[in-house]
Amino acid sequence: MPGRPTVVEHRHPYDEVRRHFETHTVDPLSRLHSMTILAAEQQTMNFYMNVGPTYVPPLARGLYLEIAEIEEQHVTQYESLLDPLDSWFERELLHHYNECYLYWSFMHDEVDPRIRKLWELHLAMEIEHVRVAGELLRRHQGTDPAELLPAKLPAPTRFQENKQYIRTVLAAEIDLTSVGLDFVPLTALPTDARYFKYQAAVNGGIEVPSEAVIDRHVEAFGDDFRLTTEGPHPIPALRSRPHADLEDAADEAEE
Amino acid sequence: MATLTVTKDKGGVSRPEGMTVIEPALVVPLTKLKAIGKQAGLDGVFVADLVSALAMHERHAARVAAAAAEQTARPKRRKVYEKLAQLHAERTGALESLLVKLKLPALYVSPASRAAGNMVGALAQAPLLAGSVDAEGRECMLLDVAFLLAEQSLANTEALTAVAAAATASTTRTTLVKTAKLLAANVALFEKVRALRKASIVQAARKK
Ligand SMILES: [Fe+2]
Ligand SMILES: [Fe+2]
Repeated sequence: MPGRPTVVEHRHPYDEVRRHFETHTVDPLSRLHSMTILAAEQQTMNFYMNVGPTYVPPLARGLYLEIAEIEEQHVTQYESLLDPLDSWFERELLHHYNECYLYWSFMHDEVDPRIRKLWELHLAMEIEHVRVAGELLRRHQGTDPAELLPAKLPAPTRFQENKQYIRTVLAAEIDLTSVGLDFVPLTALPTDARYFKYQAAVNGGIEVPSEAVIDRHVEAFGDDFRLTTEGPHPIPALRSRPHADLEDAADEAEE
Repeated sequence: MATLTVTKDKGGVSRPEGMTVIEPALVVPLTKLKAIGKQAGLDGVFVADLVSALAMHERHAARVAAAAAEQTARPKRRKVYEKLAQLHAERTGALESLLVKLKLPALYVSPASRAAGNMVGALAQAPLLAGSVDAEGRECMLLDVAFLLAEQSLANTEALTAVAAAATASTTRTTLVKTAKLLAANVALFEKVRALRKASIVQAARKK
């Protein structure tokens, strides 16, 4: 199911930075989640940037590069949530602590004993990383790692269905963009806003790959590559082919 | 007892400024900060933020001194650094009590306090150059860092004493004066570090 069209996502770098949490008051779980989403975006950015140039067709290369730029925006946005006050030694410790937290969460959720063992093995390795990073923190900064870390692990992260949540978010926020630090409705922007100038500079006067690839798909296969199992798209404007949505739902119901 | 690492779990509270986001329940309202200055004819927000910054300096200094104790190869120096760490920690405690007496949370982290912590953090990075200086140079750096932190503590004590003197008669003034006196009574070690630095430089400069 499509989210915001890629073509409208490119925006001026000034509009990608957010306010950050305060390291002495931040909830441990908020800190961990910020680090996790940052790592996920970093991986995605690296994937598109590294894999894109391995394609020969210009459309594929262009598409990957276009998406890579969006992922760079995501990296910038989420990285800016972290308090710049944290020292390198603190970051190192918190990084491995977050890895522990994630592997421990996965271990809790996993029902297959073989896979569970894998998570457990990785958790054990990360516990050692925490110990080593803690020693560095103690030696070079004089900070007791136990003082910095939460007294116990926060509630585990779970893998669970989030389709309804995504639909709610899309319905409520699809019209938002950002100006400086804040999210604002796109309709609130003046016509000479930085956003439009950036869009014109980046996507103006060219065949934008993310649009071209969908056009090609529709030409070849008759639809635009979507799976909407929970009913039509919550945004009417994104139901580009209303019958296709309904057909998808009907197909799903039959299966 | 002093808290050397402030976190949410331990009771850290703050106030947002520009780029910082703080949970509403953990924001110290400006009215509460202003209140401490009212009777004393002082800018309450500035004074509260200053005391918080002084405490943060001592916290970081205590930790850096402990790190220096861990890293020095000289047993005598190690003793000095350990004593410094203890003194900085005691001063942290005294300044946390001052905040409480001013009817503020002990672990109030002001924007100025964030900056004060960052300043010590930057100083504490100097000894990380260990790979490109010899053992003597490394000892010098550790001592320089400890010395600069001690100098700032000394100067902070004088500044707090002067602020207390500038206040008009009030409970805030009495409280400030008491803490300033307590801190000033125990600065001999800081002065000793200055002398130690001079002596150690002269010794290293002499032909072997
Ligand atoms: Fe992304
Ligand atoms: Fe790790």
